[in-house]
Amino acid sequence: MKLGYFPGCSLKGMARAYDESTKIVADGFGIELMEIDDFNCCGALEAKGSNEKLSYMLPARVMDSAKGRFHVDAVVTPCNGCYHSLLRTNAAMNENANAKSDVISFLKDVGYGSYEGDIDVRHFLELFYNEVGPEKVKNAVKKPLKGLKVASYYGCLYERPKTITKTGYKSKRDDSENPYFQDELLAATGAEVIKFDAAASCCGGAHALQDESLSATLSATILSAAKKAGADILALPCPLCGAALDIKQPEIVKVHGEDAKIPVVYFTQLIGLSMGKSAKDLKLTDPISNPMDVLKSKGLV
Amino acid sequence: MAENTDKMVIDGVELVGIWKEFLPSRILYEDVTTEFLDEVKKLPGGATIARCYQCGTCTGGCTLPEFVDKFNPRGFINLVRRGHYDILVSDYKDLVWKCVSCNRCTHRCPRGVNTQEVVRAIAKFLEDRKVFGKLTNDEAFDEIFMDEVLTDGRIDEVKIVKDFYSKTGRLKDMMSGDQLSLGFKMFTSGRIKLFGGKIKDWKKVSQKLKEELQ
Repeated sequence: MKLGYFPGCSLKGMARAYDESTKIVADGFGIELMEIDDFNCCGALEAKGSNEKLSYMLPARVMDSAKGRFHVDAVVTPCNGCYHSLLRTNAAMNENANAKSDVISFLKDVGYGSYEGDIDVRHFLELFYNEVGPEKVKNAVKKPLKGLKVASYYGCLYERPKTITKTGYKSKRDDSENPYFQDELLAATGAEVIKFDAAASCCGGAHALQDESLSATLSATILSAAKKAGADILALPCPLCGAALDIKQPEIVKVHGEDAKIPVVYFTQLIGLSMGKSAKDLKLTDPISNPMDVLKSKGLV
Repeated sequence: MAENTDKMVIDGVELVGIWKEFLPSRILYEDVTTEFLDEVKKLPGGATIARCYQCGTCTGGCTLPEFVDKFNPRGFINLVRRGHYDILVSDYKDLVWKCVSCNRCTHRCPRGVNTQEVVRAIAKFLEDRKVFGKLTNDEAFDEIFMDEVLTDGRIDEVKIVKDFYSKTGRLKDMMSGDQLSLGFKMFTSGRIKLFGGKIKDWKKVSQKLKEELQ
């Protein structure tokens, strides 16, 4: 299977820790990622609210490049938002003949024109679980994350909505109401994954700027639920949740108090750490919420 | 099979009467106008609104009612379908746009309504009718976002934050101590790039996309 890697805009900016740790982890387990380096923005939630056709054209151009230029069978992205946009485009191209012909004629004008809604779109978390899995992660552990209590948070668009996440899939999908792939992968590192009710709640990140106080309240609910459940750290698979829960955390703590203060990292950073990779390479110093202190206190860095 | 006259007790409350009879429909035909429904249907994401049978699964699982009083996707759809534009504007216009796109409603809808996109379409319907008297934060953000995507092909997070604050007249908020120290950390750690990469041939793609947006 040839895999195209679509990092998305966030991973090339503030969430570079996710980009770099994903590559380290993939490399460590022999997953070859071919980066679609001429990618454009997937359009996120803004394109689909502005113009229906455009919201299919943007993701389709990425997949057209993946197929026409890189000749891959599947595209993998670590971002919940990009994942949603790509899947949504595939669903439309497979269910709506007009949408499909519009997109194809656009691609023939500006790209390779080879894409017909037929590439398998995968989230890096799902791919890593299915192609590598907890057992191999366990066997590859060099530095067990013993004593580290982790809250495993998924965000919204990783397994919702089923109307698009269940369309045309070859691989085993996570449980959409109670996702567990990330829990099992993190448990395999030797960390203690705590029971945490807000695992698939919404962080409000989509409105982090437009509706700051509501977004902060939603984020605070998740952060404090994790802390209350006894977690030392919160791990997640989405750069947009990362922006809301990590980068915005100082502002959230100012309003909602110290209960909402907890280090936030990407799940790939913790898996990389258990593989014996350095905190520097995994960019564990990047998060604003400062995971280094707790990792030091547990003797993990 | 139970008879119609069976007594039913739920949570200690006895439900009297012929409980298997149909409940009266929530749609009152005499006051229905489809003008607004037809309009919402044509907006991006609005197409599936008419599939709704008002079960309320969307509102039951919605993230917001716990935090935003009276937020009710089923209710918004009902008002549009029944043509109660006046109530939608007077009581709900400041709520509809607050949806955070968690998609639990769409995920659970038994009728295949794309509820999250329908709610966004209703908000857009109100925006298009200028009921807010000014550019909403949502509109401002969407405009900036799409403009940046079409021009550069990718989103630069710093630029988008700066442009958003500037467009909504809050540039001074961005100059607060917190924001500056955050910016400093981002910059010194190399996460803010002064010159973003350009995508080859983006001009051509951009032109085509802009034609589409016209």
